[in-house]
Amino acid sequence: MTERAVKQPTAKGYEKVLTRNVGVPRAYDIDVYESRGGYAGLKKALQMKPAELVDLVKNSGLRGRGGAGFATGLKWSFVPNTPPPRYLVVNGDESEPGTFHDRELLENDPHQLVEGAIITCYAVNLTAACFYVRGEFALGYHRLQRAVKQAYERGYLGKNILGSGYSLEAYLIQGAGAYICGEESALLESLEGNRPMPRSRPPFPAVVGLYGRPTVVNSVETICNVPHIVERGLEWYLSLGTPPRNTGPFIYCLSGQVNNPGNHEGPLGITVGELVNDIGGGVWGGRKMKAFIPGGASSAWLNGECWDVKLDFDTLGGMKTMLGSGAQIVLDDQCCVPHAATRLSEFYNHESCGKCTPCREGTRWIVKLAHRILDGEADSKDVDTLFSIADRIGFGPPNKMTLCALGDAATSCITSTIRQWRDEWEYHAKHGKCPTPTGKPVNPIL
Amino acid sequence: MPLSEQARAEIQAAIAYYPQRRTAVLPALRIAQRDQGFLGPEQVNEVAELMDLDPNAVHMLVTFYDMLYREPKGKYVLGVCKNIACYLRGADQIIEHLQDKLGVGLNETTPDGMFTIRAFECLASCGTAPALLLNNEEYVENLSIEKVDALLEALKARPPEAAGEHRVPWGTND
Repeated sequence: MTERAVKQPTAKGYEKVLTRNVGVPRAYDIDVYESRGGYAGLKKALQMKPAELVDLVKNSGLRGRGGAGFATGLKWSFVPNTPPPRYLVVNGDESEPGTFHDRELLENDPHQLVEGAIITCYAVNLTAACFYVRGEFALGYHRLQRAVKQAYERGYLGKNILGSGYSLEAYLIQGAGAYICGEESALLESLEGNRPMPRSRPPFPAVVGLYGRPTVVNSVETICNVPHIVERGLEWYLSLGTPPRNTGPFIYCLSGQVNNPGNHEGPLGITVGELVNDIGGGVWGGRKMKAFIPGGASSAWLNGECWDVKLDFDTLGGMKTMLGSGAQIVLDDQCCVPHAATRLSEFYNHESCGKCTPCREGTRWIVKLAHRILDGEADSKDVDTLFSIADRIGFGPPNKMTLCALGDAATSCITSTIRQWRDEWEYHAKHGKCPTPTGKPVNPIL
Repeated sequence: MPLSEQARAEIQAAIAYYPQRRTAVLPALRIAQRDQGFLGPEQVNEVAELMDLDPNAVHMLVTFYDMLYREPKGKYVLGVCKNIACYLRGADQIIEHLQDKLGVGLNETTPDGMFTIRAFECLASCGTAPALLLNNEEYVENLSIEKVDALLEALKARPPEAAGEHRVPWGTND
């Protein structure tokens, strides 16, 4: 498992950027990384003024790859220029079901992340970078730890980096298994040794973050974009995807019932058909696609006819779903939708931190009621009740019932499947069995 | 059993490493668990004392995080992912097979103290599903019934000193 096999084809005519070192032997070592052009972006960045770098990233259209898709350059510009310490927190607590790009990047190319983090800190004039790595990623943590050590040895970290006069310290920490730590304010709580429960905002972390200091929180893949923007320039970056708001390279985490799951890199905005059929080798066993989850477990499901939908932030946002963390999950036509959606509800019930009542109690009721429907101890009215519970746990407007997006995330699998597959929910409520050819909830090809 | 001298030294090193002392509490708990196998009241009190925290403030972390154990587990903890991507590729069959084969249910330990089965939430191994995480750190991916059987046999044959969370399957050079 130390060298992860790379069998992934990429989009036609596309040259890999973020995953270019995946599969290269020992690319996690600084010598190999440098021999492949690594740290050139940092050297170039240190010749530039910090404000130029912030503008560059702003103009690149880079949006956060962790889930929210917030403009990275804009986030950087919110940080007030107060006296140090000022922090960068690298969010490596990737736990969104279906997402596995950060693990790949940490295990195979940790220096890319370290380089990006140093440039980020220089651009925003931050004094310390803190890498928070998901507890389960033991190998990724080990590799990142050594990458940081090597970066110190080469003078990329520490005092007076490459003679620029700029100094930066780096810290690493491992989580211990909590989905909510991927939420930026909960992550800060975890770092401060508290129970990781989201904070009420404002103030936002840019102003009051780690230890109450100005803090930038960016995810692993977001930061991995930064060295390439600096090194290869704006024009190149804007040539990928659809400028101005959906640009750059993107790692599609394709999983579920397809022939070729894995991390597939391409420009932002390829279509579902290109991803699932051309790159992913199609639905397995020659089956048809029943449902498609476009942006991780938290996004609303699409039906199996969505082949021409472009996978980018604004297209999916316009369809009342989202690109989220970039995880695409395929469900074949022998799958029971209510069962699969309930599995996700169980996840959110387990991971709800318990701070906000609508989420803590709502996710529990969703699971209870969904199980009653699955067991056939319910009727059509219970499907309505399920929908209305789910529809009322909201983060954003109009409901604003929870402090973080987990509230919303927990419900989209229920609301979107009742909207589109109400017949399956009703069938379950009435008969207590799955409307699949075998009567089983899932029919994997083992 | 009190924490070993080495674990206490590692915790002190963690306290010195981070910009603020309180950040070290989570690393300290992981160190203590690696040393003792679990975090009962005794261990929690000891970490709290080293961290200069109220034991309650430490205990509420132990009850929150999935990877921190309140009671002893088997020598090998098999955390099988049950979330959507693995579920769609046969995770339930894997969990069922493990239960049949080992004769214990989820969150239970075999009478010989060798194996504990857990169902994990998404392990970020969706492209290589189904998957399990062994002792919180070693991924076993692309599982099949045969692969699970082979894994159990291989684990039974592992020499005793190779068990435990601190033995990683890769060398320092990897």
